[in-house]
Amino acid sequence: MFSIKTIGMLLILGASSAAGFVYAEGFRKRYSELMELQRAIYQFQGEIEYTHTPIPEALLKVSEKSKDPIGQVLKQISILLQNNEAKDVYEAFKLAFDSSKSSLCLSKEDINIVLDMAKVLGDADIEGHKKVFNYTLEKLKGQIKIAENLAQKNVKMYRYLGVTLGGMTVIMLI
Amino acid sequence: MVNTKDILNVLPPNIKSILEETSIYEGLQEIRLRVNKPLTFQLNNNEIITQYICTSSDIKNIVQRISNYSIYAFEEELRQGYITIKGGHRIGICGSCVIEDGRIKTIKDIASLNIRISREINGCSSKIMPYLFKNEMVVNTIIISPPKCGKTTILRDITRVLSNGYLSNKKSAKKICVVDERSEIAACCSGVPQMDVGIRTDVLDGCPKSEGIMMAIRSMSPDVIVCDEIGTYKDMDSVLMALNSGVNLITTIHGFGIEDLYKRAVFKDILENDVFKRAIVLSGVNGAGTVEYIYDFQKNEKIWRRE
Repeated sequence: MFSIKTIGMLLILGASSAAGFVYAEGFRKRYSELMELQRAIYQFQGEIEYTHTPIPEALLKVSEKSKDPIGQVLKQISILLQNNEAKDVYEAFKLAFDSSKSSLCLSKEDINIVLDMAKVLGDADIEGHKKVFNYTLEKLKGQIKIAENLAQKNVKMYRYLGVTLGGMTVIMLI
Repeated sequence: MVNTKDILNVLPPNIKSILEETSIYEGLQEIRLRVNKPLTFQLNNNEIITQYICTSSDIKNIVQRISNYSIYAFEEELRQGYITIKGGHRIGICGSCVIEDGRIKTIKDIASLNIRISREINGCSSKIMPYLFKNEMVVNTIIISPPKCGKTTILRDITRVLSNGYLSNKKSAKKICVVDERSEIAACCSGVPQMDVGIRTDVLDGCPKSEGIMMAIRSMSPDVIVCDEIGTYKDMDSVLMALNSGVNLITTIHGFGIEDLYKRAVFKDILENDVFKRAIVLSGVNGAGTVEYIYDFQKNEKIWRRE
């Protein structure tokens, strides 16, 4: 009996701590995904402005050098466009981000910044693309700063909170 | 041979199914779409007017597909009124032109498209090949032809034969550089020729002829330079430069006979410098690619004519 109770308490403590760690990890992942997104957009900008590479091809090249899940999303957009499965670039971006929602830690606001960029992609000239990339990167930098602050504040807090809540529950049960 | 896959890829499903139903790929030369007008197919000498009325969204859809959703990548081509797609098919575009500094910046509100089907006919130049040599040396040749009479197809076949070696004679094989401004001769996709242009051929794809000829001479040491549709003073300067460098040239112009060369002021310099030794004049009398006559500029006479 005693051993079952101990195991139960350890399970509660473990589960609560794990929940705290998982939730805290979300803040860290969001920051790293935003950093990867920023890097990918810089590379994408180079492909478009320097070599005038068409969007599907440029996205495929960028996806090969990007970490997942950002790389996967970019690859999916490229495939949607190559197979003419989206009516325009914006729709391809939207479909890909919607279907990858569960694997992404980006906030709705972060994704909207990229979707706003997609509304202009392909229809403007090179100068127009330069402007939209600069605007998007500026906005992303702001989000990265916010995500970094949140990660610094919350990662430790949620980890401790998970362990503490588990500990408190165990104490109360004793 | 027509690669229908590349054409079908750019068509929206409704137009694709009409084309598939008619199964007229073999003689198909053009697919024409005009907003609020019937979809038409141009076969060799026939025109098929379908019941389907084209909409502006059909045209928008096709433009998105042919430009790969990336109009900026085709700015220069769009300025000239066409986009070349995979397979070497050229799509002519009409709409409202946007002008900036007296120059066409782009075309908006696109209302007409002409999808011109590119063909590869291996062996179509066999009749004229013997006239391109003198003492085993290639002579500078100009192909004169009205539109739609197969001058690019013949030029491509000449390139292939010269590059591989005429009559499998290795001595006659030449290093060739194709300056393919409109991506029609080699139909490059990601820099790789989609058409057979021979094993000793290098292609400068999408490169203006005037600059491409100079680049080819400097960088690739070709025996022969091949380019399509010369016609500007800049092109003529480069042609003369090629002549001075000892590189042979095979090119084309739009026209109906050698008198078209003499009529246009832009060709004055190259005629005075005796750049071209032979002219091959094409017509569409017996179908595309009919050779009307072959002219020798040194003898000032037709050395071969259609019977």
